[in-house]
Amino acid sequence: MKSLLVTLCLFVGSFAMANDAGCGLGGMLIKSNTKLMQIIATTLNGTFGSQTFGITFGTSGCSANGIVQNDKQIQYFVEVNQAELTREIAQGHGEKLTTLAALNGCDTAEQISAFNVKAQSSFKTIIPSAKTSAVDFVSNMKSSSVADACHGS
Amino acid sequence: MHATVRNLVLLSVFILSYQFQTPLARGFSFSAQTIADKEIYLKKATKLELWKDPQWIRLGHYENKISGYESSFRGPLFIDEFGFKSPKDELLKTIEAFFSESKELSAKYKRHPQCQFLARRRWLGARLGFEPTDYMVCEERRDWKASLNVKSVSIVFAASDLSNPASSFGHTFLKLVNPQNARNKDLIDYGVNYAANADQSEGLFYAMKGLLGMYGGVFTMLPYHQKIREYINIEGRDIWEYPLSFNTDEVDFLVDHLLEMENTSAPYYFFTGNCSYHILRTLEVIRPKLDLASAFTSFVIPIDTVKVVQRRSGLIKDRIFKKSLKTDYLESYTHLDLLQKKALDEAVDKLTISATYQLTPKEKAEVYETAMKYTAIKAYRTGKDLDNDVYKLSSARSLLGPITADSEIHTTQPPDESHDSSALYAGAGILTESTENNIPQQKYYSLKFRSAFHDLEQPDFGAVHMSQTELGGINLRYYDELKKFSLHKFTLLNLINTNPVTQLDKNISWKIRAEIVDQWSPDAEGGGGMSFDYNIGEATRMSYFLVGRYWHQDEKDYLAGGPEILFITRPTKTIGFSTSLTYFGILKNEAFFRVKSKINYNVKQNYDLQLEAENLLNKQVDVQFRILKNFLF
Repeated sequence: MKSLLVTLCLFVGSFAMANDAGCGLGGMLIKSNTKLMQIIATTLNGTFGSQTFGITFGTSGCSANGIVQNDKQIQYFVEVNQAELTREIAQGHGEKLTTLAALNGCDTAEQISAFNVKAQSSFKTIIPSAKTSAVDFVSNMKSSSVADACHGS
Repeated sequence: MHATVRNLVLLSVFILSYQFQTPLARGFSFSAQTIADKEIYLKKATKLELWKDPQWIRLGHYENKISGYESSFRGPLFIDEFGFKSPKDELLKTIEAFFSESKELSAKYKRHPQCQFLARRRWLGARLGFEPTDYMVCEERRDWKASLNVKSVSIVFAASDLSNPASSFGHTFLKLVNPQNARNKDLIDYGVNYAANADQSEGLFYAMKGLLGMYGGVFTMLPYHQKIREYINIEGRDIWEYPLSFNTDEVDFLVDHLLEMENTSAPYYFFTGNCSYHILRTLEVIRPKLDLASAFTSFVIPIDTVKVVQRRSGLIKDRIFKKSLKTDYLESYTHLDLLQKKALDEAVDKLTISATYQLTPKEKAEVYETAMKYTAIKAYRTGKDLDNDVYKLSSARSLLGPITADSEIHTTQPPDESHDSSALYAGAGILTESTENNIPQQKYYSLKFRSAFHDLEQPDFGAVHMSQTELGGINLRYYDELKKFSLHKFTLLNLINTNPVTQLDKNISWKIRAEIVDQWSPDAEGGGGMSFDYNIGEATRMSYFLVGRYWHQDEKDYLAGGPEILFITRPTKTIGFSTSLTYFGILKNEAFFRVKSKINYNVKQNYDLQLEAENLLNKQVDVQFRILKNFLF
């Protein structure tokens, strides 16, 4: 997954060099992951990897001037949290999954729970393999009409 | 298909970013009236000596140093070349710039100074009575702020990882809250962080440079889910959010000011000029009457800064808990019964649960969920690609359907209620007589100062469990009979980190101590081993160490080593007890068997009573009683 995201990141990056790092921040989390560096970083409160560095108010992923565009919220959210969403869809509940439901327009507790059930039963369709990309994740979610579950259809 | 989607995404990114990219490059000019107004504003500001106003001092992050006011920050925050050390020059230059048609300045900031310095403009405009026609329209900023729609702000505390004392320090940052996200979408709010702009490839230099302030600290903003992911998932740190009761005007002023801080940096000192310090300074900008950062004279420990905000401002009314993946995993694990725990071994190893366990679908689901979380943590921790393993477990779990639910939010005690990190101990004790060495019994009084952080036996929520982090301690004694003062002990560090062996993890426990005792004799001890938890009282742990020790006493050097058993128990929430038995085989000397015991009773948040006893090499026994007052230093 990581390598795919990085690829995507480079791909987008080369396209939108002018002002945008590309929608691929999920792949930029931790690069150096040795135990020693972990200990040093947590002790000294530095942040690891390039996550926060250099991304100030001005530039970010699927975003303009640091703010994620409304129509990119789902894509961005999935890209950053795909690993957590995979687990939460599998178990059918969790904070990230609830957020995904809300981003898809579910509002009440019943709607969210209907979304969750539908997502769980569509697990294999949304995430057909361990290497499913975030972009495919989102398009599979759309094509299997998971969001319809919370709109009563 | 993907390519199409991608291209669409890219195209819209491109178009949108292009839209936002149009700075005020086009020409503009002020009316003659505005130019005349400028002179009036300059005169008025000079007459009022507005640069001495606390609000201006806060806006420039100026600190009152011996040489006068100076800001730690450098960069675009200051329009005047020497603005960082002259609040006056900076203020006058700001008024000039606000009504200047200089293309150079606009090019530097990519927008007109009026739109770059929104907080300054708002304050100066109110104080100097700017005419409505003198305000420029800042469309780009207005749109940006409208899409952010921040109406309140929270201070977020990332607690320490319960098994990693290195993270004891914690971390704080701000959360910008958009009320439209209130229903289940708060993860797409934004986090604002002040962190060192460091290069992680520099290894150990990273630590050194950080201590010396060789990195620049900058403010950055990220979607909240992305910001906390690092803490909740990767580092296993629970998150506590503390909403601050600023009004919406004040919050708007904060956003304006944060925009002014963009790309401006200050030397980042890990222990003093750190994230938490500058977050406090930023809160002071919103409300100059707040006096927060001055509470700190040495280490700025993040949880202490939350306590200061709580105690000095009354802005904190509530707290919200987000559990880390690690806490979540531990909760699911505790919930499993014996048979499920056996099945867990198989699930983690073989990624499946065989029928022989005869688990109900719900029991199976719980095992799979625990295994998924465990494997995910392992992947984060080791950096190994275990995507396939997690995927297989998730896939198997999904087939069992909706038969489990989120566990209820476990109400752990919030870290802001933990004891303060510095402490003063006042005590009295007895050194028993030693017939062998002809030493009579002695009474003494003792006074100890602990700079940070936590005693092993004190209540340990908010700290690493069953562990001790003592940094910088000075212990004085007055011996009654001898009428003598003595620097009994100087503690550089005394760390005990116990981390229990669990079904799936063979965790290592360790301890290290470096002290100078009885006026200038070194005493250092260190060891490693394993710990095991028992289900007795609130918590009970046994640790088995192998320790080595070097010390100097009565003009002799001792080098020793041997096994140690450390027993820690908490029969109730307020009582902690420890005993350690250590057998020191000493080089060229008779062996020494050391017994140390201590009991701590927590009277209330910041008051403890302690009774402790220890036998010494010369066969004396040292017993003392202490009263502790914990406080913020």
